[in-house]
Amino acid sequence: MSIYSLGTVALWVGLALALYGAVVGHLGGWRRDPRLSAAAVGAVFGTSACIVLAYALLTAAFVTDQFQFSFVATNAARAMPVWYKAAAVWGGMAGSMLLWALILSGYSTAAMLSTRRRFPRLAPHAASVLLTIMAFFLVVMVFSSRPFERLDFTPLDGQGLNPLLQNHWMAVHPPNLYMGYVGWSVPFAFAIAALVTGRLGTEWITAMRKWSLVPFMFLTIGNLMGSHWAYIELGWGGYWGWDPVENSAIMPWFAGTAFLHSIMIQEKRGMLRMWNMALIVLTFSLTILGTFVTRSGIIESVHAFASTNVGIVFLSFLTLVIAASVALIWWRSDLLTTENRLESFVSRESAFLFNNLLLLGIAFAIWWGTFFPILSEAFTGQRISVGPPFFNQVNGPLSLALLMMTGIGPVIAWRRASRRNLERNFRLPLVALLVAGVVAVALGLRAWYAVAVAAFGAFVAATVVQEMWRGTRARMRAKGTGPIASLVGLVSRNRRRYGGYIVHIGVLFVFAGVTGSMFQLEEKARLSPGDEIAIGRYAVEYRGGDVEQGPNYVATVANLTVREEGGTPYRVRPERRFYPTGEEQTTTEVAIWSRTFEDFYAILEAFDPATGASDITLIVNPMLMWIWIGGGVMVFGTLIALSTPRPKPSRKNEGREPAEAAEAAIA
Amino acid sequence: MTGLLVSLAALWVLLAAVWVALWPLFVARGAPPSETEVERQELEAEKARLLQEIHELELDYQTGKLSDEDHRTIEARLKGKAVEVMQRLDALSPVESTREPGASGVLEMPEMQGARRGDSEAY
Repeated sequence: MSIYSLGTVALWVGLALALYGAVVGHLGGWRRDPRLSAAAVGAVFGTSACIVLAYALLTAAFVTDQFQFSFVATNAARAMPVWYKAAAVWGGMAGSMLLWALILSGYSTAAMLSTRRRFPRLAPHAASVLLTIMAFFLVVMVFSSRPFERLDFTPLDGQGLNPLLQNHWMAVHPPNLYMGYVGWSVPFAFAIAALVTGRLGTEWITAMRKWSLVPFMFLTIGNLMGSHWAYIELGWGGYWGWDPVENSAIMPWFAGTAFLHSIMIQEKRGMLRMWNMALIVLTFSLTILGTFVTRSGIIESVHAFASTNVGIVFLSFLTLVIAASVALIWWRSDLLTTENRLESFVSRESAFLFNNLLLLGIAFAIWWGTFFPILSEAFTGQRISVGPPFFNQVNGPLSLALLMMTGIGPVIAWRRASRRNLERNFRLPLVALLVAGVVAVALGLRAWYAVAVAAFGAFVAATVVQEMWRGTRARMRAKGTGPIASLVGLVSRNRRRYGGYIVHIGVLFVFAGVTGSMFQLEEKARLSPGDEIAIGRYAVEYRGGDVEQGPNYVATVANLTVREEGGTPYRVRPERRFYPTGEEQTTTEVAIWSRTFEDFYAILEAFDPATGASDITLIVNPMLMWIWIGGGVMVFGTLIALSTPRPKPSRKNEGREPAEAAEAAIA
Repeated sequence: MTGLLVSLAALWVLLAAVWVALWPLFVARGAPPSETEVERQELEAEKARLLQEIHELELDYQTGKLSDEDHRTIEARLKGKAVEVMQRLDALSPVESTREPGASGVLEMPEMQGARRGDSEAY
């Protein structure tokens, strides 16, 4: 028995511990038995250790070329750089399931360490739910998609990782996306624990505030990295094609964002309890659906790299999750009634609700467009696909409304906005909206959506600036500090709120980037050495092609010199790479000259070594950089919100009379 | 030789994993947290939430998101609730010995320290 065979043993032991922990967790929670509850938490740690061991052994098998294992032989090759060999672990079905389980182990362990003492009634049930999810993935790896399955022989070399995945963005994109997907398991587990125990007040919301921000952040990063990978690797000049796998990754982001906003209403006003339960169940279900779409091969996708027959297993698990959650919500429906009612449609509560509906509307439109081919085939026998025009037409107006709500939500009054409140808080943003709209038209913008984004964007920016300024001014008056110190102090003491505003600024930048990129220019030409071509403000000279040898590929390269009006020349070298191992695939490696307000993008379509001529596609993408900058700002804002300190216990008021201590704390 | 050592290490990890999951069943633990103890934790969490609410209410008021009347009404309601919660906390029996050190007493939000010195420093 080789050391790698211990990987299978680790998966089996992990499965046994997960099942055992799932049972004792609920038992411990129900009986309020500390031994059983501690055993469930111990099972989380034990199962996690088994998964970490299995993952480490599989990575070692990849790095040391253990081609006797089917999964290694299919996804690795000797010539691959070590970095890609390690990343190839999640390049196929079995390894990506192991990565899912590994990340879930990390989240579960951290969640139990952080909550088991603070939330003793919820933690055992939450441990049980997390272990059930782990058990599902372990069942897949033990019975269906086995990472340590042996071949009858040992091949001399492996087939190698799909060349499209041999890109550093693709090496880091799946872990980040999975960190986003998997992270929603923790809030889901605590929501289920709250339903099981009937503790449906703000306790589970308080426990899960930060645990919801983490997957939001990683889903943001994962989606942006995936878009960046598509932009530089797929070679079509765009970053988002409404591909089913892309759609599956963005749907939980919209649902999760709706959840992050609506829990604020439950915290402040005790409203939307059932809605929040439904939202977290929906968000978690969408993460499973996303994995199902990526891994089942049910829908054709340029991102589906590991189509297998596990679709039915995922669908069964998804059905179980939804059915059990709905049954629990129905069972606890009496306890999920709202403490307060909506008092006015012109209020913060109403704005947040509308924001929720828009986010879910977008998620539903994406779901509908993604699954329409399957639905149409089921009902008519004909597979009808909907393309980007459907998604753009439906989501464009919804997104613009969402952008507007991004500005309205933070400044409108709670309960009921008075005329005075509306005048005071919306005068400046509305002036900014009008000025930006007029300036956009005056500068030559004619597309209505671009003018709308400019105007609404100015509105959002004005609300954030106004909020920051008013808070800073109040602090300056109170503390007597300067504006910078006051602003820093304000943000530092209200990190969740101002971190959220910074995220809104990031969203605004992403809108600017997406809208700008709609004004894309494109030219295609067959060029011989010395030929020149113009696109937009750029003059491009083709200086011939080369054939180069890479570590595990052969590349044809076009040498282009780009000169912007009055600027210095810049060299770009788009490539086509041929990977001789495995499926003998060819990939496009685009060349991008990326600047703050414009990307110059070159694609080598074909190269004729006999004549030296190349077929070249040139694209100019305005504002595209702002999508990545906006993503960075969103992550920065989320990190600020996440850095909010936890309340600390103090004995400061001990010995005082109750009323005296109470008054001292709130005076 | 390396393979043998790695195998032994992996076996130890597996044994440790099983041990971590099973040992709580065989180790006598203290009594479960009593209802009083759980109620104390709930009240402490509720108090922290209410103090944060009062803090944010003040910030909302200062940045024009509440009318004078709503501010007065909500502030009085929140303060009344906070006083009630703290009175209930102090009326509970003394902190039990099974609790973690430092988990007793009155919760103090770092961001509330200013609020305790007066509304003008709440933000």
